[in-house]
Amino acid sequence: MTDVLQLLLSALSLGSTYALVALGFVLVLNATNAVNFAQGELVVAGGFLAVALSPMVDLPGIVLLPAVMLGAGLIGVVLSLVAFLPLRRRPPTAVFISTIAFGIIVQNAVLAVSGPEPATASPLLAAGGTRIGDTAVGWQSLAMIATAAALVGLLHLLLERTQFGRRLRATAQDPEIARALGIPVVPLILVAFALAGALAGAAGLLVANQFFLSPSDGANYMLKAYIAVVIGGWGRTWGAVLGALLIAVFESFAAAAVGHLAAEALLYLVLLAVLLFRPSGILGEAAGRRA
Amino acid sequence: MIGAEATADPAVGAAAALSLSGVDVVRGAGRVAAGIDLQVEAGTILALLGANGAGKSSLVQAIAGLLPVAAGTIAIAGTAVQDMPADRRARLGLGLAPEGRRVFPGMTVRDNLLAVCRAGRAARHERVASVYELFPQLAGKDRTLAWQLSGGQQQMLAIGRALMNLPRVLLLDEPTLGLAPAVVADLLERLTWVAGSGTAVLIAEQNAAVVSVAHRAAVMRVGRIVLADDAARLAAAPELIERAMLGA
Amino acid sequence: MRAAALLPIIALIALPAATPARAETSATIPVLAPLTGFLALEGASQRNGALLAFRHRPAIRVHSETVDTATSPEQALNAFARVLRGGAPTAVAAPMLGTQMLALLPPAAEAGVPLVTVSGTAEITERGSPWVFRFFPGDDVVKAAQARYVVEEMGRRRVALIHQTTAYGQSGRRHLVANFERLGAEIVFEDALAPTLKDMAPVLTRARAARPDVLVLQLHAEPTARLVRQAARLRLGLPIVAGSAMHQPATAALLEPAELEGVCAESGSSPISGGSAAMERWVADYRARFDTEPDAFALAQYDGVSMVLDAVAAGARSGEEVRARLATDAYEGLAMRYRSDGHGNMAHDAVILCYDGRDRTPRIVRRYRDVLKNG
Repeated sequence: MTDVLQLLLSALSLGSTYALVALGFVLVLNATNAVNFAQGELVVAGGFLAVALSPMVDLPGIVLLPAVMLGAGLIGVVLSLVAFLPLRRRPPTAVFISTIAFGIIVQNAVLAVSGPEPATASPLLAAGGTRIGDTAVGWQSLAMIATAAALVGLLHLLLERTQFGRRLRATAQDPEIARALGIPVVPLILVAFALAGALAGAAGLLVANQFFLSPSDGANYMLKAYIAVVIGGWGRTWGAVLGALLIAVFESFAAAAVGHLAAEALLYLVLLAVLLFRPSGILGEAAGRRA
Repeated sequence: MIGAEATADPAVGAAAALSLSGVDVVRGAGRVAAGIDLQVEAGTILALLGANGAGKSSLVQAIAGLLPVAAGTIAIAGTAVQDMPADRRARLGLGLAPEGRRVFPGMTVRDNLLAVCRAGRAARHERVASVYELFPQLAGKDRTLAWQLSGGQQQMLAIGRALMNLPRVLLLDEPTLGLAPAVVADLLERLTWVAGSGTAVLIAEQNAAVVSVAHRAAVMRVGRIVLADDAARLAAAPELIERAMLGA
Repeated sequence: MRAAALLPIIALIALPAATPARAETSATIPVLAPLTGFLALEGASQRNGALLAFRHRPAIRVHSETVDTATSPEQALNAFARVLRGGAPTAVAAPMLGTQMLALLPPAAEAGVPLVTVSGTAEITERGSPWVFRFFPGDDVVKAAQARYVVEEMGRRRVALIHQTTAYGQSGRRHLVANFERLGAEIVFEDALAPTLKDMAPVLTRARAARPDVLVLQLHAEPTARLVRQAARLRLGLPIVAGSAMHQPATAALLEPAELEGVCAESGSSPISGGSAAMERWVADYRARFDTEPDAFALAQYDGVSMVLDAVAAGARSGEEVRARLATDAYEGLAMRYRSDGHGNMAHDAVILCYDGRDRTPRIVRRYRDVLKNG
């Protein structure tokens, strides 16, 4: 039981950061119908921003969150201006390639500025921990989960209670009619990319202390986000969160049972199974046009 | 009652709320509408009748900006809009209740209405209340997801949604399709109230019953307007309409 | 922040001959290193070591090009083909990624170019190629030292072994298993991890269940640090004896001194631990030139390239001539004495260094000389 709690804590802390990355990915998907392949690199950019700021501030890492989200959000806006908006009338492959290219540029920029070494940032609150029974409970793990939950909650409010959120959901469900009814598309796209960047950046800050960050980490986060969204339901915001948590928990417990290599293979088998038997994901695809 | 924003007095030489002149619409390889001239004055209903494939839906989509116009001009209150994207036309006062209703299925009735509204918070909620006044059936479904509504309720929602920005011109594409006659009658009556508040209403329909609430009526066949007259005169001679629609 | 070359771009280094009166001694020594990807850190060390060696030999005009080999064998082959186009090299400072080295053995033999590497992967000298020269002690040396330290010095007998899935990890594992068996220790737990794995809790939880008395690692730099941190947070309470990655200053920089207490590592050397005036001078020069801490890979590459330059200074010009000298001569380098064992393994000494929890500079606690001959 100790082990279960231990594994759950660690898995949820990593999974909650995956959830932020996946959420940002889904937001752009909903606003634009485009796959943002630079989402993983936005995590790296935000994370390295946190790494750079950490030594300057003698306070818990959480205070860096607004600056990191702002910085990464701006990069998201640049991404949309450079790699998406000029190409949105072209076939989708053009945007795949342009976002991949942007991601590579970001990765190399981080490499150039920070060097190839992996890096770490300040803990969000504190580094230590406590014991509950036999389970070691680290403050960082708890802080990661709490922060991610708070951000997800805020995003939920944004989507459900604000005009921006309604417009985003409307555009996701019927882009043609949304436009015909006057919902302006470009501002929506810019904000969606800004949010994607901000959430990815937050994930970078969260993950940097316990799991470290390398300039080449982006692809891994991108892959996790993509799988999370496929498993959870393409285009569903809650599906993205659910998928991300499921991936992390599955990987952790599978690895604890049969070792990491087998666990990774199993994850992809599960993904294949989902694609074969329930291609719309666990929560189903976000409702499109009603037939 | 929710309706048009600025009710210009038609007698004071203002341009018609909606005006088409020589409009051609091309879809794919074929011309689906040619040489269309029509006008809808503020506060009136124009019934645009036609059988399946006559081109009336394509024409409505072209007015809305969902299909390109190959020739001619479309003007809203005198402003030419045929080269403008759809969202700009909406902002100039065009409201659309599209074919198949196309409400946002995963959103509540309330959110469907709010999402498209460009007004400030207070005005938004006032307008939602007005829509519920117009369509009391929707009021009880405020928090219901749109996909769960009946066909008639969805149609009301689509119309209410189109009215949320107080449009000058309201376009309806086949609004009575799939609805029971009693529901149709109720719907048509409410559309007269919408027109009564100053909105110019264009209803594209297969169902000639719509003529009963219209001021003007036109019939399209194979992409052209083959008959246009005051609705009252045509209502008295339904065989004229039928012949025009079917080409006998 | 880096002072030297930031992006993996072509760097032409041409140093003037010291005595213009006679013909210039020149050599073409390209540097192929993984400068991006998961071995970027080590690749940068490797490159810096080579560049410093060029700098310290103003009498020789060195033509060099630095090419990033990133992470795949194909990229290494492309890099090699590219430097060949620039004219037959005297020798090549070859990438330290094991899989890339293995891929380069055939083309190097075909082109007649000696490869000077610091890769620890044992297999690269087991393929019978006369063109590879490894200046970092191979797994057979350092793993023997690592295992001996665990059993003979620490007295531990229940080993939890965690290694990487890469060639580096597999090779090290093989040698560790053989050595532990020979020494009479039991491997109570074993697992293989991918380099990008983030969550170490599962493997650590499973390891703990086997009740080991020591954790032995064969992981790359970042995974090593990650595991050390997460083991500390899980309060594992086990001493850790890690692979050479843990000696690198950049790895230690990721951890708090307190987390490093009870952590030891094997290496060919540990420059920042000092030990002689010459070593301290070298470290100071490295720090000044590259604005970063040197590690054993940099030093080993430095020694290897210096040996090549020695050969050039003594008259070797072609790849074959350099090869012949590297194969037969002994060289007194800064880290240790180098001499080929007939298969291209030049380094036979190892050290064990440990962190005491007070700072990030380890102390050398045991030296093993000529490990294979001295059992």
